[in-house]
Amino acid sequence: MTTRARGLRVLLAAAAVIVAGACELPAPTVPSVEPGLVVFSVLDPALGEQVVLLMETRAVVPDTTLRVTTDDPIVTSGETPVLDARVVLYGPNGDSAVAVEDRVRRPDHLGAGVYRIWSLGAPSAAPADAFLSLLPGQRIRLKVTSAVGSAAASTQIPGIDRVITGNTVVMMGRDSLVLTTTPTGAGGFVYSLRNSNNVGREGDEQYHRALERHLIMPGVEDEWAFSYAVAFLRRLTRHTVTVTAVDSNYFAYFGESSDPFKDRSAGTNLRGAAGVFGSSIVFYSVVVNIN
Amino acid sequence: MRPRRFLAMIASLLLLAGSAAFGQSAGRVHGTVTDAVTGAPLAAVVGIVSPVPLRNARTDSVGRFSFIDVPAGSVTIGASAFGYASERITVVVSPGQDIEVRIRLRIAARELETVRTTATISAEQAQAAGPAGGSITSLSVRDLRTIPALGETDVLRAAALLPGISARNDFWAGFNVRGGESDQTQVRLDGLSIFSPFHLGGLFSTFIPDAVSEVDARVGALPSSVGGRLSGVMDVTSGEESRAGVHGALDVSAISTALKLGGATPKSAGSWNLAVRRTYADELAKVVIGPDAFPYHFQDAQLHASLALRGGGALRFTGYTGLDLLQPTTDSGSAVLGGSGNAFRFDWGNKLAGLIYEQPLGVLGALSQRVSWSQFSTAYDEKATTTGLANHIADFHIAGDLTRRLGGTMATPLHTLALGYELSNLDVRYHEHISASSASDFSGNLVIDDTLITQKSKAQSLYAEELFQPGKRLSVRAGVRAERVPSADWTGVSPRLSAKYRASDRVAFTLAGGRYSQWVHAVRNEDLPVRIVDIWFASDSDVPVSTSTEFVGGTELWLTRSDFLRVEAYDKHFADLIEPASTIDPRLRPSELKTFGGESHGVDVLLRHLATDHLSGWISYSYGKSIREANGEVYAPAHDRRHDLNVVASYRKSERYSFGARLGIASGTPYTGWAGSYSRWSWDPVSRRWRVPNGTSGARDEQVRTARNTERYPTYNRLDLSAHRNGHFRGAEVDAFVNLVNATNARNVLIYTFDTSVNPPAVRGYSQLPFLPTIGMRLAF
Repeated sequence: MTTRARGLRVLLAAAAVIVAGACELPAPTVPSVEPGLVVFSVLDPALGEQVVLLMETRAVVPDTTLRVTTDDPIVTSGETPVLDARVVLYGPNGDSAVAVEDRVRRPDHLGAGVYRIWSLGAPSAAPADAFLSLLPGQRIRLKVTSAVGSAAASTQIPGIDRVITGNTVVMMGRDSLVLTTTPTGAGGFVYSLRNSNNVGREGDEQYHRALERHLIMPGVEDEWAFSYAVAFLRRLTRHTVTVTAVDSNYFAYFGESSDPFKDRSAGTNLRGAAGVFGSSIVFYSVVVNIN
Repeated sequence: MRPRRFLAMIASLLLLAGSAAFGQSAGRVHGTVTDAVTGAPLAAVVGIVSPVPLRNARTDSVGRFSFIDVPAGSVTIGASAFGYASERITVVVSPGQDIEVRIRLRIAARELETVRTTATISAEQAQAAGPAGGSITSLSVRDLRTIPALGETDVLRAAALLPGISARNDFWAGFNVRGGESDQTQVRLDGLSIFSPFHLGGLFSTFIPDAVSEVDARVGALPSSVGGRLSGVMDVTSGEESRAGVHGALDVSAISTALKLGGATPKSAGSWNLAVRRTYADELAKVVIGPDAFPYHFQDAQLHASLALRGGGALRFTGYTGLDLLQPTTDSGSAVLGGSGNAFRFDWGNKLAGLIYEQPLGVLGALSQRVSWSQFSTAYDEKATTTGLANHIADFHIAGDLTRRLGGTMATPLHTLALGYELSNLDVRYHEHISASSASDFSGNLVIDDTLITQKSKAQSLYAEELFQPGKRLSVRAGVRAERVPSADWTGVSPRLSAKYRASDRVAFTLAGGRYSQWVHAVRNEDLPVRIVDIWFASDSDVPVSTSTEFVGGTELWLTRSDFLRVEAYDKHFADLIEPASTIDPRLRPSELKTFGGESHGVDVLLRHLATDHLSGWISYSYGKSIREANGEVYAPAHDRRHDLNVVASYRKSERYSFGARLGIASGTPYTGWAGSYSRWSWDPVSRRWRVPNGTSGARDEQVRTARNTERYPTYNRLDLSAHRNGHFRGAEVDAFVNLVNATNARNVLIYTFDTSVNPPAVRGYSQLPFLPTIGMRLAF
């Protein structure tokens, strides 16, 4: 608990002790807790399938010993999936797609609460009415209707003109690594440093609201995006530098979550549910050899 | 022509001739109306009963009245006051003579006689017979003493029992007037503003009852002379001692002790009143339970002095200082308030000093000037963690009014013009210093935050108003107020209009409308049901000026001479109200503020029975509906109480015994419920996979709330009872009383919380005040 939260809780508790000796008396009757809807979905135009996870809020402490599987993530994590919901994504041109629940589609009926649409390839290869092409710069709306509740949100997929990939060599203390492309419509940017296989994280992701073009600079006193991970950038090592443009919902939900004073209920436009509906697009992913 | 009609015509001509001759053959009668036993000044209505009922007037706070241009000859003057038997006195007035009379009223006897005087009317009737100007409900300190209270009489909490005024709960430090937020009602002491007039999180008001003579509640249709608030004004008037020597009162209750001393100078040229009060639960707990068992107390002092000036003017000084202090040490017994090294100091309080000058300008005009300084400050200081919070707002205020009557008669001038100005200089400072107590608080980074916000804001206002009374039935009050807040780059013009039509002596209809603005704001998170202190900010380039419009229509009906019914309907629209974007985050710069608008409408009903026999009291009922809207989200504000019924009664069995009761029934206010908790999954944009937080992460268990304020607390009900035993002891008046607050021990909900430390997580409820008996005694000498 933060000092501020603790201090404020002390004040509130102090007030309660002072003014309400009744606190210790028999309490009034209380209402029951009705489950609500939780939505997790981040659209990525580079993916062939877009996933919307629907689960219920819970009134029990979760079992944290379970092993989560990718085929059935909601159930294996101990959460309660929302079944048979109607999940629709709307494109900017009046087109739409109705997501198909994995549990319905798969022969093994795994994937309860996992709703999927197809967004790349031939529309005919996707289940009927489950195809929606996603392009950078588009605004996509989500509407969920379920027995637990309804939710709605929209996301502005950041616009990019190209994706930069490849290999480069950087001599620390001499060379710079600078972004030359400028996404449009992004709510923020995520900077990730991984190992050469682009799997192991090296340091935590960094979130910046404004685009920080200077990824690596010669001087340690300079302002550059990966200065936090300078300890990893040793000579003769190889890393994957990734910059992702994200929408405002994503940035508000994930990027500002570390600020304990930030009102977490604000910033995203998801209504009727907890969670997030956002979008992300990797526009810079370069393998850097440190020399 | 018939003889009767001829005589009536002659009489009319004589009357007109007499009126025209007032300036040449008239005198002046002035005097005081006081309690026959204690000598305390009374709020009374004084009327010239004969030779013909010419006019009525109300006494001022010192019990003084004055009639100018009284026709020479034998004149009978009658006086009546709430709870007292009426009196008449006859004097002979010579031309140019100035006669002083002293009228002493006695408390209505055991077998009270009904007042049947045809010409003398009660204070409430005088108000009803008054011109347009919005409804005001007045409570004298005598009214207040009959209302059961927690400990001693509470000046402001009693006002919350009137229609259109509500408090969110037993501890709420503020008023919600006709659906408006708490900071939209200005509380004034002798016309001087006080920012946060409550102690102990709202349980007690800051005014010492013995230092107060009257409370006037204005719940809307504010005239042009009132600015800076959107919803209402609560005017508390200091009492003034009219007896020479030193007199006073000592109030002792289970909660606190208050002492008031006062006196008048010879010939009533001046008076002074000083009152002090302190709670002592902390000292008692220290003895009974242990050191620092209850490390809280409040104290205040109230001073009022007046000086009569030549020409009927007066100079008055009002001062107030108060302090609430919560200061646990490491020895405090409570784990919350101390014990484990949680020593801190948390204090808050008001300070006020003001000078008021009033001067009649002949018989047709008056001038007043006011200068005051009012401050509210709060500070939290925890040395162990070097955490500190401090907020301070101070208002240096200068204001003045000039009125002039034109045409018509003295009793009913055709035009009453008023001009006025207000200059306000606001100084606001907010400072917080927070340091992380452990590295884990901020993901391994030590963070020290130092926020300092200062504001220097000014507000300038001018107003002009005319009260037009073309006859006895119709009166129209029209005015306009021009306001400017340079720091917010805002200028506004607020028209105000009210009209009153008296269809008969018993029935009147009223209409009013106006625009209002406000540039000081108490910012708080409405989810918290306890309002210990307010954080105040002024409007500037980041904080907008709030505005509202209001329309009010109503009727006043006298059912009998003792029973009065008032019904008013209102419709209000608000814009640019502000609240913090996150829970109690006072860093109120643009990104952290939310502005919102809304509307409120409803009906208020007041049925009041005057104390002309054993029983007195009132029934007030309010129906109100409030809606707020922000960024497309529509919700009910946390103070939206649809139905609010209060029945207040006082029964005087004899001169020795009296009883009081208050029954309150109200619908529950909204709150945001819970839909449980959930895990905060994270999306890895690089691997493009969802990740479940690990078992020990705080993201594994985040609370989910339902839509804002869609749930309602249960119906509120509370019955308070009181019993008084009056007597005398060595010349002093003694009132011993017992109060039973929440006599039925109703479990009214204060707040629900969601306890996630148990499995399954549970909603827990906390109650408001339980059954609380208190005893006390008042000694007046």
